Amino acid sequence: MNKVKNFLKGISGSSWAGIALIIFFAVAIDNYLGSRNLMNILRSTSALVVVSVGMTMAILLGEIDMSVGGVITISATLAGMYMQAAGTVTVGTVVIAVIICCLVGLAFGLFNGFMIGIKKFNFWLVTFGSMSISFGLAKGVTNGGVISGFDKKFQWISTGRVLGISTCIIWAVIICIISVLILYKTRFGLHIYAIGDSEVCAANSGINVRKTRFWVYALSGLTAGLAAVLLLARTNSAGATIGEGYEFSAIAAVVIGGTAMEGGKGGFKGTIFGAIFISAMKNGLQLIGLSNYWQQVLLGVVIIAIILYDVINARVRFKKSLRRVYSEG
Amino acid sequence: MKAEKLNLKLLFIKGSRVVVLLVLFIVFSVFTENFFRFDNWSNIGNILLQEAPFYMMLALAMVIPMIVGGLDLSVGSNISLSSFVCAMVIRETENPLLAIIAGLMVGCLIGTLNGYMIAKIGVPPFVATYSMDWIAKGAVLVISKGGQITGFNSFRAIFNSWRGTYLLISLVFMVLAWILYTKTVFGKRTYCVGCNAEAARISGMKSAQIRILAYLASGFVAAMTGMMYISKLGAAEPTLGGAFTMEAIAAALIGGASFVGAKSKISNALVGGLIIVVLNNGLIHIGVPGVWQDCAQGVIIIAAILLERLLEKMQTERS
Repeated sequence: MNKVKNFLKGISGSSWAGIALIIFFAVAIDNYLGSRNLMNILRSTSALVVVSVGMTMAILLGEIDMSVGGVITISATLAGMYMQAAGTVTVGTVVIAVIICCLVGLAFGLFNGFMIGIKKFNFWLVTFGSMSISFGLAKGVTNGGVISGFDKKFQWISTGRVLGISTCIIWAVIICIISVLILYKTRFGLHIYAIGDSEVCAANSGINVRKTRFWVYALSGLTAGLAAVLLLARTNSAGATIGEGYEFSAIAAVVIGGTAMEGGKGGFKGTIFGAIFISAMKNGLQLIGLSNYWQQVLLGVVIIAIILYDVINARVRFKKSLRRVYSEG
Repeated sequence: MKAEKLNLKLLFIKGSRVVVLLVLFIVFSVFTENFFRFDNWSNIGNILLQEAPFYMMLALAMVIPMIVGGLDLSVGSNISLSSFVCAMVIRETENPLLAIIAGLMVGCLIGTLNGYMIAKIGVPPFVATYSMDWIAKGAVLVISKGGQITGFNSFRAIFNSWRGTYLLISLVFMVLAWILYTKTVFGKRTYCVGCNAEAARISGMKSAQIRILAYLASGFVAAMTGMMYISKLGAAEPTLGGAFTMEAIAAALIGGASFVGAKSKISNALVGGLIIVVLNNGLIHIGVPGVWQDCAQGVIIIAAILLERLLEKMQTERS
């Protein structure tokens, strides 16, 4: 019971509005909460929640990894090109394709980590630069086209079923569990929170800030690569736009999940909620019959509203605490 | 003798971007056939009159918020939205002046909303403007239903009556911004706010108002760019401004602007815009295919921040 309470506390207050929205969909749409549609929602959450692992860590540091969308695109594209070049697809080819995704993601992550963590460049500029490089590379190698039609063996990664549950959901759950363990149970996770709270304090108490930051970006790249695998196997096509907007959705998932943009507050449990919320909302809007364009607008509006609510809420609380201090003093 | 040497070095550090521009220009002129010859000005004329104005304006729209320590990621979709609204007004009323006013108002509205969220409510600039980017991007798709508007010759005639109109307008904007931000009290205040908004507020400046005005100016310039662009193109499309945000940031950074408040200058936008244009055009002439241009943009951004670091080091070594 206590754990449930803690979980609910991890969700930011504004997200209760989101829950109200889902209830609205449940009333408005038949079978919205049917097991089939719920499965659909979870399936489309799988890639997003995996990207959000890295994004959560970056935002807990008080920074943002803008490059994840691009990294997904380039890893998926390169893996897809490899599989097309390989021709006959065996289990070995599939494994190599997955490894390519991970390595490409990791390579971008390591580059970001080196530039930001070790060389102390502005995180914003570096990740924005690698976002534009990765999207550009994907556009260049595909010549602006689309690669599609992969082997069933590769598609199994996302579309297969084990015990009646889609494999992509299983992968996502496994990755979520690992990252929850990393974030909450290891020294590395603790260091992330400490640095996000106050970098100076963390450095003074002996935490290796550079190393921690380096690994956060490396992990963020790696999770983007993993998400690319899930996405590639689910959509069965890759092109220069496959990962477009994922950085925005990931930031939104993290922020809706109650992690503060200034770092040090929040956690991964909220992010899982945020990611599911976004997918549920997109799904609901789709089923109601709104066009893609409206979905984009509404998503932007909802995210801004939630961020505004949280920022204003934090300020009100801050003022209240000040008043208490003054009235007592 | 020694003092002279030091001065040269200082001059090099200060004017490094101009040096980069000249080096690029010379390299491309020497290594390609058609980029520039003394007996062949057509390419350079084209660049200056048809491309450079837009990049300079884009960089300007990005540099102004950078002065107050922020940035504007909604430039691209602002351009799409304001230019599309402008085209719609022309289609409905056939009145170019009204259309221009409508377009500028949309741009100012987006800019003001950005500024209000950032300065009054305290949302981090890139979150506020990035969300705004998505909203505007969606809004233009909604109002256009994915289609495009072509025609509007009465409107195009204003800009296309003389070849140099685009360059003239962008230079006028540059000069006005330069006067506003370097020669007036308002400009000095803006730089103070960029340095330390809280300190500026305490010393009696209307810090929030100045920051809102900076974003408003950015929206205004972006809207103007959008309208110039559709008049050049002859068609308004909902996805028109897609890559512009990236290009604006690349241009501003390569021109020497910095995300640290109060370190950017209006001249950075001018030089940055020119460098990007020369680079884009030169790469095409050297034989880099168009699909690799996006990638080149990213490399430019990374190269720009590396260059920045190098110059900083040189400066500290000097002192």
